[in-house]
Order: sequence, then structure tokens, then C-alpha cells
Amino acid sequence: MHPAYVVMNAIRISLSILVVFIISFVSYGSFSFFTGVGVLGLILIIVGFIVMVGITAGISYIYYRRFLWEITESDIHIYSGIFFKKQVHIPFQRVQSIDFNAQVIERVLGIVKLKIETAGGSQNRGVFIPALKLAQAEALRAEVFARKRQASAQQEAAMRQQMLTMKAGMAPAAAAPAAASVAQPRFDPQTGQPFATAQPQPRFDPQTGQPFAAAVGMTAAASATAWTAPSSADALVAGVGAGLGELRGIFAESYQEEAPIEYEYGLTAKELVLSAISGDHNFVLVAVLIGLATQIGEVARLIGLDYSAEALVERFLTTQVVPVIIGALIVMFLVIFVLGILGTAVSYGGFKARRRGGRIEVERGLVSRQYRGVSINRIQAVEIKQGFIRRLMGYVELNLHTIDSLGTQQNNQNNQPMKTRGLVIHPFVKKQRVEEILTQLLPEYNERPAETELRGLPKVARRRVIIRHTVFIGLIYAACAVTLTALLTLVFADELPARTITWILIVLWVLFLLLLIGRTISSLLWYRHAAYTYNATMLMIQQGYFGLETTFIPRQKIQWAQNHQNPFQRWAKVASISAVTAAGIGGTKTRLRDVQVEESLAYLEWIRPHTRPSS
Amino acid sequence: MRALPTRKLDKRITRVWRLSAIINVVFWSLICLLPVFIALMVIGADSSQGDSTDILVLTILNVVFAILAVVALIVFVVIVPKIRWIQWSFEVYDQEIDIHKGIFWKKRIIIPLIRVQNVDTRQGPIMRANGLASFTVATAAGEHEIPGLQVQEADELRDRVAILARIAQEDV
Repeated sequence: MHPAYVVMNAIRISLSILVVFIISFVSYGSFSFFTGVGVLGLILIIVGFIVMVGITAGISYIYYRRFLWEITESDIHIYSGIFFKKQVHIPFQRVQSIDFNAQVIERVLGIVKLKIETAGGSQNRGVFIPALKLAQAEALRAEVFARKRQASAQQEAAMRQQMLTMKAGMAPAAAAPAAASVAQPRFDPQTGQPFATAQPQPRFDPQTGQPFAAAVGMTAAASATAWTAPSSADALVAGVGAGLGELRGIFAESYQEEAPIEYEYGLTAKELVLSAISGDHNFVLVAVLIGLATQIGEVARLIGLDYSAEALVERFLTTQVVPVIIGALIVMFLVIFVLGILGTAVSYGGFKARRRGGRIEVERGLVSRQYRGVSINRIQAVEIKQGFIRRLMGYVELNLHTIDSLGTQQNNQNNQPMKTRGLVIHPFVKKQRVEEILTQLLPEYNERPAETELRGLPKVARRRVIIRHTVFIGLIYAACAVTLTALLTLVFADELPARTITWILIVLWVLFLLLLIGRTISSLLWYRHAAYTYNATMLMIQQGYFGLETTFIPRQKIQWAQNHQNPFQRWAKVASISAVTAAGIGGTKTRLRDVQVEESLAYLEWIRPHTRPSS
Repeated sequence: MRALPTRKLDKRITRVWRLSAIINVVFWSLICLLPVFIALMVIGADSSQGDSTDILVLTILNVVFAILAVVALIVFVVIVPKIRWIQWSFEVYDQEIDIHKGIFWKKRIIIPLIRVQNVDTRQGPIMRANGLASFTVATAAGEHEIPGLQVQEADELRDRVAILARIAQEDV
């Protein structure tokens, strides 16, 4: 592991502790904290902070010293832990992908956090190496994938050999030593240094018998340079130099797999800005803002009641406090709004997606940079997503459902997963361009059904969605509103000014009306667009209220399927259909409600092996 | 359209369900009833503090809980397991497992055997006492259990599905 880990980890933990301290002080109401502690107190706090940094640095140093990894002939070994020691062995065969992630400090130092994803049925596990030099990380990745290819080639060769020997009636024993002798350890397990004499043996393509030229070159380079750990000072200087020299293109010199890039695209500046503005969280924020502005009277009332003195309430309502609160809130939300836009812009800046051989690679981020590669067979479904605003603008987000893994590492507090679910392959693209991108990036999904083939839902689904989506929530809200109205007019009638009460009631019931109207419209929209279809190889489900989600699931990726009826659905002769894939952690269910029963049974027939749609 | 699957669970599974329902109902009744009993005893012992309305309210509460417990016992112990058994059916074909189950929420589940990753048989203490075992198939997206089978039957099913899953072919 890279020694800069110690410094980075210490800084990160100390900063978060500092933030917690400040927040807790401020929230205890001692706003005078910053002015009232005096010089001595300030010194004490600073000294305490430095001690804290020292302690965390010490712990980080011990962790750094104890963290060892090596590549043996059959797997990657990682030893870690201070009190609870842990050893992880990852056979090359099970490595699915190796991803990088770099925060700001790390980028400056030219360091990445490396995550190794493994395949293990439904219990996927990811393993982290918290800090590695970029070159080292890339060499590791190249080496592991080369070994993986080698291992599978060997396996294939051994199997072929075995079959040959069995056919010839010879003793199968000859095959095993032949296969075993191909691999030999190249790294000293003690030091992690390459053996001086080690030469990467050529790897043979099982099909042609030709050595992989690129792989040999890469491992040779890796053995020569990247694996030797430089001293910490050197590394820091070199890292800073490299980082400052090329802050943007830290992944520019990505390793070359033998497969060339087949298709690549980025994000135009216009797309980036529009994508930042049109996120639905902004829409929600604005809605909350409006809601708050209208309900401010109630807020003031609640604040007043906390002091439980009627005089205070009166003063609150008559003085200028309310406008000030409104102003402060509006400013706060504007700041959050702008920050949200900046956040999106920063996290999707420098976005690049490309197809290379059997993998799709995505890298993004202006400040913290992340790289993610996923093999095609880990992709379970393609999702075309639209929020409300994007739907109006005719833009979509392209998302892949991939099999994810949990990160397993001890200092988990700052190991957020690189992406919790799915892989965004384009955050903001015109609907007309989707066809082009998917055709080039994912030719495997070319046989997807067309939008024109979509089958809608029966009429009864409209009634049901209105009941489900509008009437239930409406009743609950109405019950609360009636209670509040009764309370205000009967109990608090003497304690609050009549005007305030009228005002609150108007807001309450206007909101109720708005809710009903909004929900009804979105229910009708849902009914109009909810649809599904399937052809020989793929299921397509489209649904959404204000937004719209279209999911393409290959039949081969459906782990199991069901139709599902509650008593009301039985009465209406409809059923929900679901397709469950292995995406995410432990599976992802895609469901469409209220398909006609016969159609849902036909869908199940389609799922059964060796049956085709009746068309 | 294909008919519902026909293979049934062993009838003895209703006994297992009943027993676990009894345990559940008794457990929750105790949790609801005990505090009321204790309150009654405390108030009854100290008659100077005891208000007759308090005792009345508590007694009514007690009776209501007791009635609820009896109703729950009848519903969950007598009726539900029976209906559940009637509704439960499954079939193992050469290429897929077909499950139909549910009382209010009815489900029909299809698991293609080519997606099956591993198969298990399991046995809890109540199951063992009744000579039953459950059979579980796991896919990359979760498990499905067929609960009440004779031990031998479950073992046979497990072995058969394991073989079928191995030879199942991708057909698209």
C-alpha cells in the first residue's frame, strides 16, 4: 500500500471528527463558542486537535504497516487488520473487475483506491486496497487480468489434453504436470519484489496458439517499474509532481488491454449543464421551497408554541421574525440548489464511456475521479430513465443494472461504495440518440423490442391506479387535515388570532387539493404509459408516474419470474408480473402491476425454457 | 394455458405450521396479557389505592385480549394452515420448477433450472419430529423453499434437481 495512506487517512478522520465537534457545539446553542472561549481555550482546542491527528496518524501507520498484499501463482492475497487480522485470498478466476476511485487529495498525490470485485453467487464481495499509486494499480489490474486469461486458457488446455488422453486411452496423469508447470511464481512473497531472474512467460491464445503480445509487454513493464515500492518521500514528491502536472487526465494513460476501444463517447458541456439543472432533486427542492414559503405561518406557530407563552406567539406573529425566517430559508434552499447543480456537474465532469472487447468502461468526476469497468455478462438489464423535467425536455438517463458487491474492509467509515446500484452510461442524452449509443455500446441488446410493440394495460388498471395512488393517500391526508381543522377551530380558537387560523386552514386545504390533482394526473399518466412486451430474447417494461422508466431485461438474465395477485386483483382479473435478475446485491425485481391474467400466464410460459411467444 | 401444478406438500406440514402458530400466538398473548395481569394484582392487593373503575377497565381489557387470543388461535392454528396447504402446489419439470402458493396474495413462481446455483434440504426440530424436511433452490437472486416434504422425498428431489440443473441447456 502507498505510504501516503497514513497522512490521508489521518487527515480524513480528523476532519470528520472536527466537523462533528463543531456541529455539536453549535447545536448546543452556544453560538458564543467562537468568541467566548478565549485564547487559552483556543490553544487547548488546537493542541487537542493536533493530538487527535497524531493518534489517528499512529493508528493509520500501524494499519499501513500491517496491510500487505501479494500476487501468487493462483491468487491475490491481502493481509490486513490491527486487532482483528484478516486474510483474503482471491483466485484470479473469480476476479470480475478492478475499479479505481480517487478523491481530491488522492488525485493530487496520484493515488487511487482500488476495489476488486469478485463473483460469488448471490453473496458478492468486494475487497479494497485503500491507497495505491496509479501506475501500480494499473499494473496490478493488467497483471491480474493477464493471469486470469492465462488460468482459463490453462484450464481449457488441460481439459482438452485430458480429453485427448482419454480418447487415446493413455494415462491422464500426463496432463496435470504439464498444466502445472506453466505457471511459476514471479514475486517473492516476503517482499513483494519481483525475482531478479523472473521473465514473464508468453501466454498462449487457446485458439491460435499465438502468444498475447500486449499482455507480455505489459507484465514486463510492470515487473520492471511499478511493483517496486519507492520510499515515502520519493513517492510523495513524484506523486505531487505528477498530480499537479496532470490533474485532469489522471487516468489518461490507462493500460492497454489487447482489445481496442470500439466505441467511445463523452459529455458535451451543454449536456453536462442541462443534466445538472434538470435533476429531479432540484424539482423537489423547489417544491419544498414553495411549500415552506406557504406554510411559514404554521412553522411560526409551532416555534411560538414551544415557548408556551401566548404573548410570545403574539410577538412572533406581529414582529418581523417571520419574514426573516422566510428569507433565511429561501437563501438556504437556493444555496442547496446551487450546490446540487455544482455537485452533479463535478461528479459527471470529464465523463467518458467506452466499449472495449467484452467490457464497458466508465470514468467520470472533475474533482474526485472514478473508473469503473464491467464485463458484459455482469450486465443484467438496460434502463432508460427520465425524471419529470427530463421527460418534458425529451432527454433520458441511460443506466445499466449490474451485479454489485459489498465492500468488505475494516475501516468502513470512509469506504462508501463507488456506485451503489447500476452504472450510468450516459447521464443526459437526447432520446433520439439512445438507439445509436446502445447499438454501438451494447450490440448484445440489439434485438430489443421496439416501442411500437408495447402492450398497454386493461381499462381496469386505470381505476386501480387511481385508488392505489390517489385515494389512499388522499384519505390519510384528509383524516389528518380534518383532525387539525377540528383542533384549530375548537381547541386553539381562543389562543390564536382568528386570522392566523383562517390562514392555516386555507393552506391546509389548498395543499390537499393540490395533492389530489397532482396524484390524479400522475395516476392517469401512469396508466397511459405503463406497458410491456417481449420478443424471443428480451422483456421490456415501461412505467412511471411523472417520470418514466423503460427497462430491457434479456430472458437469459431472468433468474426467476412470478405473477402475483391480491384479492382485489383477482376480482378485477388482473395480476402483477415480475422478473428478478441478479443485479444489485442479492437481486433486483422489476414489477409491472395489473396485467391481464391470461397475459400474465402467457408471460410465465415465455419464461419457461423451450417455449417461444405464440406470435 | 397450462394448468396449475399438481404436486402437493406432505399433509403433516400442517402440523408443523400449527405448532409454530401456537407458539407464536401464545408468545404474543403473554406479552399482551401479562402486564394487565400484573397491574390487576398490584391494584387488587392495595385496595386503598384501587379504584373500582380501574379494576373494571383492566378486566375488560383482559377479556378483550383473551378473546383476541382465542380468535387468533382459531384463525392461525385451525384455518390458515389448512388453506395454505390446499393452496400450496408445485411441480418439478425437466427444465423448470413451478410453484403456486398464497392465501390472499397468490403467487405463481417459475424458476428455470438453468439458473439454479445450489440446492439444499433443511430440517428444523419441529420438522424433524414429524419426519419432514424442506427443499431449497438458490438462484443468483434469492432462494425459494418448498417446505413440507418427507425426508426421503426431499433428498430425492434435491438430487434430481441437482442433476437436472447441471444438464439444463440455454435455449434462447
